[in-house]
Amino acid sequence: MSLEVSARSFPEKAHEALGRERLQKTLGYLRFGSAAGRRAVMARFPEFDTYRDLGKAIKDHTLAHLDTYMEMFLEKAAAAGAHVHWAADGAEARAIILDICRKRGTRTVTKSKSMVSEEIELAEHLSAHGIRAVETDLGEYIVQIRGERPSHIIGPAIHLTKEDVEETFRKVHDDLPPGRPLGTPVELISEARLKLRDDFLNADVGISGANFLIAETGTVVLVTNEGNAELTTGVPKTHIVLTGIEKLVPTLEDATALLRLLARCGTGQDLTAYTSFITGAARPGDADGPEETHIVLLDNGRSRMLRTEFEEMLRCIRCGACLNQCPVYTAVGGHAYGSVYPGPMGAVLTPMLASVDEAGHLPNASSFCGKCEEVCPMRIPLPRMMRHWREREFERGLAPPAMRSGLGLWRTLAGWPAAYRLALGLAARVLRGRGREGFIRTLPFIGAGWTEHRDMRAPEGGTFLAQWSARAGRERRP
Amino acid sequence: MSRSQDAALAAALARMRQTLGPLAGAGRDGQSPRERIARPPRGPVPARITAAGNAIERLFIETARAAGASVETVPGLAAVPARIAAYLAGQGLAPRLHRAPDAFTRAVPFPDGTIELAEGPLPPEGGIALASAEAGLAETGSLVVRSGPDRPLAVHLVPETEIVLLDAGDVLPSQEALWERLRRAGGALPRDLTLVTGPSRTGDIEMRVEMGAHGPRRLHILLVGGAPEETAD
Ligand code: SF4
Repeated sequence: MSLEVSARSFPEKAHEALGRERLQKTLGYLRFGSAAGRRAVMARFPEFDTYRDLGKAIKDHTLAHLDTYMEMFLEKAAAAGAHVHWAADGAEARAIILDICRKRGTRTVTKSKSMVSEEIELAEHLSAHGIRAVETDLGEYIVQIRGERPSHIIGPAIHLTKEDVEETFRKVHDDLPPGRPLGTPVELISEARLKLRDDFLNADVGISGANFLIAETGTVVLVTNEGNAELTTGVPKTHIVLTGIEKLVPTLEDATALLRLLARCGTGQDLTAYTSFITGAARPGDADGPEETHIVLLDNGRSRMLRTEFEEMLRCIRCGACLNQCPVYTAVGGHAYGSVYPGPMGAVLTPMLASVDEAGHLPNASSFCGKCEEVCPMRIPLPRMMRHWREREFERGLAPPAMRSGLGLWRTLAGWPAAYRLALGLAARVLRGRGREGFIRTLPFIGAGWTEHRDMRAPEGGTFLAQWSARAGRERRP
Repeated sequence: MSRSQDAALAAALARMRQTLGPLAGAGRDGQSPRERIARPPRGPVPARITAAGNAIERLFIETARAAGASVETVPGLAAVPARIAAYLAGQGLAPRLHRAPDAFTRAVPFPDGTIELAEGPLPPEGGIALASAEAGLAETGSLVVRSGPDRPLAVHLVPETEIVLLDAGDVLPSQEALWERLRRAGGALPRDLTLVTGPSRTGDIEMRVEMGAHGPRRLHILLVGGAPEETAD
């Protein structure tokens, strides 16, 4: 499993420094969505809460008319020259995409970051059929060449230090001089830029996801900071969009309203560096752009969430704010969840997409502190939905016995913060004793059900909350 | 779409319709989708735009700089070559420009021999490009670029350094104004319309933001016909 790959990158001699390193990484997560950062963003955009209400209303209206807006979108996209496809599940989507690639004699595909393609394991599928699929988002590229999976929906390589990346680049880019300087992020980024240029300019097919689909115009909206989506969608002769039906919005103005929330919650920017509105294939006479554009609309369990207690999850714009603010996520990291979508949003969404039997342990990876709902720009009641899942799981008698007894304890503790922190501190001490090479294979009591599915990273010295306040205290002193 | 996909889609839509209930003229929640498309409602105008009043050009300069671009105003196209030469010298860059083929960019009167000009596809390693933008958005400091016959999109993505000409008269308050302008012009969107907000960047290594991921590392905007910036208010 991928976690073992990262485990090997932890040199044994650094065992003592692990506490610090772990904290460093945790701070990395927090840098993403720190409270101070959020406050600065809000100060520059005092309409934030008004826009949250508006965003919720736009998505609720769209979901109530999803059939209508889907039809409109498909009609408009086709009129603009796109080929549209319907995929009920991942297997169908993979087959459609493989078929398009084969018809075009594809050898190399460039991919810009798409969580939906992770969801259906598209890159693996293409590789298994002899097509090289190159991830072009820097973070995705790094985790791909390491044979790992993304640990965050916005920052896929957030669990790695620059030393990890350097080590990987030296190993994988073995055609470059071994003595080259690679100690700084700039050097690493320049090397990746150079390596990926060839693929960008020579790929036969570019595959992207979508952040929004506009019914009014048949437009696909894509946001990136690196510019890789534009190179992926604009250079190859064929562009394939793979996306879920919940990305629909009615109009250009509605997309604008949601864009005012997305980057602010994701990375603290007003707008990402590149926001592209792609409508159909290249027009006759265009200087560049794909001859053929395909849009694969994927259901994969989404439509059966309509009019259920999980419908509100379909409002999610994948901003990542609920991950960044989640004490469980920031403590254990994205891989611990073992699912494509980690953190609170993943805990609710994944069981719907897979089957509850497989991912039913996810909603238990929560402290029910409510922070996720507080920061969610789409006002999604994540804790309530996690509770729904657990109830369903109980009803179906799916929870293993250890989980069932553990759950009672979580429930009590989650409602009593002081006890929760105390128990977490105790657990951390127990776990330290148990962690071999920084990894824990079996958790005592509450976690037994969880580690049956996942390895859990050993906490390094005290709980995160304790370390954080200790550090904050140190920093306050002159 | 293949015939079996067609049938599967029709079945999925029918299932959705059954779940969501009958669609009355007024919509399932009192808002009709047709009406929303015909008259798209807008969100409230952000305070920063209202506060800028008529000074949206200045707001644009401020927001574009906040996004990591450099901006200077030039009185007209005649002044552009000297400004570009000064910018390149200041950055320690060789005076070699790759010129985009659109009419606005081609209208820059470069005197012979000062700056080496090239056209056609950019070199893979990047280089320096000179191009123009369709519009600017003051709310976010974004440049609006689009695909078209004389508008290769690669010009905005492949270079290491991009210098962009923007007519000061094309600075709009926000995306809503852009949509309005598009609809007035007939409503057809180009294949690609991209809002470029500052240089390319990544935070993928230890969450430290560095410029120049896959796109330009430097983005320099020349606001043509813009009012000269005052040194003090
Ligand atoms: S659930 Fe909310 S906070 Fe989490 S990713 Fe989705 S929109 Fe963002």
